[in-house]
Amino acid sequence: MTKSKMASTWAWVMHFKQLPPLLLVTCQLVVASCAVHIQGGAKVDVGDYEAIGPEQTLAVKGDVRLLCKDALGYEYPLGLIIYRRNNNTAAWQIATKGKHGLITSLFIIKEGQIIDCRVLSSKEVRGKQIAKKRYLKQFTGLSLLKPNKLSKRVDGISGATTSSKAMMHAAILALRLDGRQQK
Amino acid sequence: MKKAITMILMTALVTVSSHVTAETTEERLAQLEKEVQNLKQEQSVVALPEVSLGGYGELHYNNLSGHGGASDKESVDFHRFVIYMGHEFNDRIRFSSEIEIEHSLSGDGKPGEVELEQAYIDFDINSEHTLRGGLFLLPVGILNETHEPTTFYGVERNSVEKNIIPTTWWEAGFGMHGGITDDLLYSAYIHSGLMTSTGSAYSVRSGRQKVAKATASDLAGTLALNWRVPGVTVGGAVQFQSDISQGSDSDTGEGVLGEVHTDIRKGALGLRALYAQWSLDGDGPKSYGSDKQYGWYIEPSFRPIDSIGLFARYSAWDNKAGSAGTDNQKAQIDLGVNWWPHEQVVVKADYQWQDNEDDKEQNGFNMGMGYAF
Repeated sequence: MTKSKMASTWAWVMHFKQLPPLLLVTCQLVVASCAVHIQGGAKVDVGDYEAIGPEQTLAVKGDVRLLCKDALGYEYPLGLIIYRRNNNTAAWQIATKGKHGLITSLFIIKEGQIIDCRVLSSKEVRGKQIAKKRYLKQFTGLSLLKPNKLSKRVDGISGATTSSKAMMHAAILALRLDGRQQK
Repeated sequence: MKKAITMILMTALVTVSSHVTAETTEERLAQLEKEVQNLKQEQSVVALPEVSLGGYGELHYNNLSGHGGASDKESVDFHRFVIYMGHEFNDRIRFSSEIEIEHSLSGDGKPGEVELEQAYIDFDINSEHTLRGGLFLLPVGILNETHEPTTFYGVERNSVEKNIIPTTWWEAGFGMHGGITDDLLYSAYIHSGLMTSTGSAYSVRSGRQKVAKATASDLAGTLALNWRVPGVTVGGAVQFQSDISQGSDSDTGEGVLGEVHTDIRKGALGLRALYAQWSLDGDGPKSYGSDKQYGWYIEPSFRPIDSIGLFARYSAWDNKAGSAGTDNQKAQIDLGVNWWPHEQVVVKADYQWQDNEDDKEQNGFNMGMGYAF
């Protein structure tokens, strides 16, 4: 590298002195955030939903397959649906298509209403926030107004339309599967 | 007596032994059954579960009347046909790509282009932070990273992001993106930059090299921050490039882009707004008035039902807003409707009025349809 090139590179680096306060603060926040998340790890908090009951499965065939296709708009991507049930409370593990592969979410339903939900796994890039509490709490208390319509509008994440819609479809499917079993 | 005791003990042993064996077999059967069920559950009906496929496209019809020397435009154009493909190498490493055919037909003397718009690899550090390297869309503005036709109003992309940001803009480089908190997201990249020239009056849009044997003597850096909660995004980006002509023009210097934006959709009401400004150093840009290039727009919308959305947009922009530039500001009002017969399909219509300082205006209507999957 010639001296002039080195000087030019150094000058370019030094130009960033215009940004230092913002850049520095961002870097500090990122490092702090990294530390927190590395400590916490990437483990999903699944709470005590396993206490609802033993794991059971529902084969995706016949009327279940048709119901899934009607709720999602496409064939259910897996062969079985896992759920747990204890009287009128059930936990449904639903897989829906995101922008970057499958999103697996869990909906706990009691008497036709979602009482809790969480994302078990997702590879979404711009849709990471579908797994955050602020987004998920919108589903609490929702039921079905019509077969494919939730009782209240759920605000999506800007720039992550596919991920947000995948979650809404998953909620509808969980409620419909629960309703089918309760009949 | 001894024989009798031996017989009893042996019988007891066999009974206990057979009971234990039976229990073990039952347990094993149950375990096997569970494993088979899990395998069935995990078995995807998708042929290649590690591969993601998608795409979008948009067909446009423009019927515009030119005034003050501007040309008429009556044309139909399959503006964009895009195929997305991704591959998941493992739980932490993913590849994403997009190939686009613009204007339907490419080749020598043809109107279109075949473009590699994205080809990058993401490496997850943990659940919140990801390293990215390759060719990727820069995190500036609202449309640059998310521009599927089903996600925005208007047949054509808005003129401010097109001419000032300039969308769609991709570069090659590396960096990191993720969340500082649950709601505050960042992206920070070092990447290749623009190469503007005097031939195009240092317009930033014409400076895109599209990572095609691009000159990279002067790199650029972009930092974006977005506060994103359900229904509301407020954010901005800053970009710095040490020489906006990549050293090819001694009359140019550094370039700095700053932009702020918001994207709100609460219930039926929506609002998008953006302000972006470039500052280019050097006597070259200054002589054209291109040392300052800026634009802004505001776009309220109303979606009374899920399948219909109405919008209005006011945009103003100027690629020669410096002191030497005269009569270059452009302004446009758009009114229109989007109809989503399916959430992944959209039909659009809008009317545009221009009010440009040079009086060269194109007014008329646009229609289009698009899809994304």
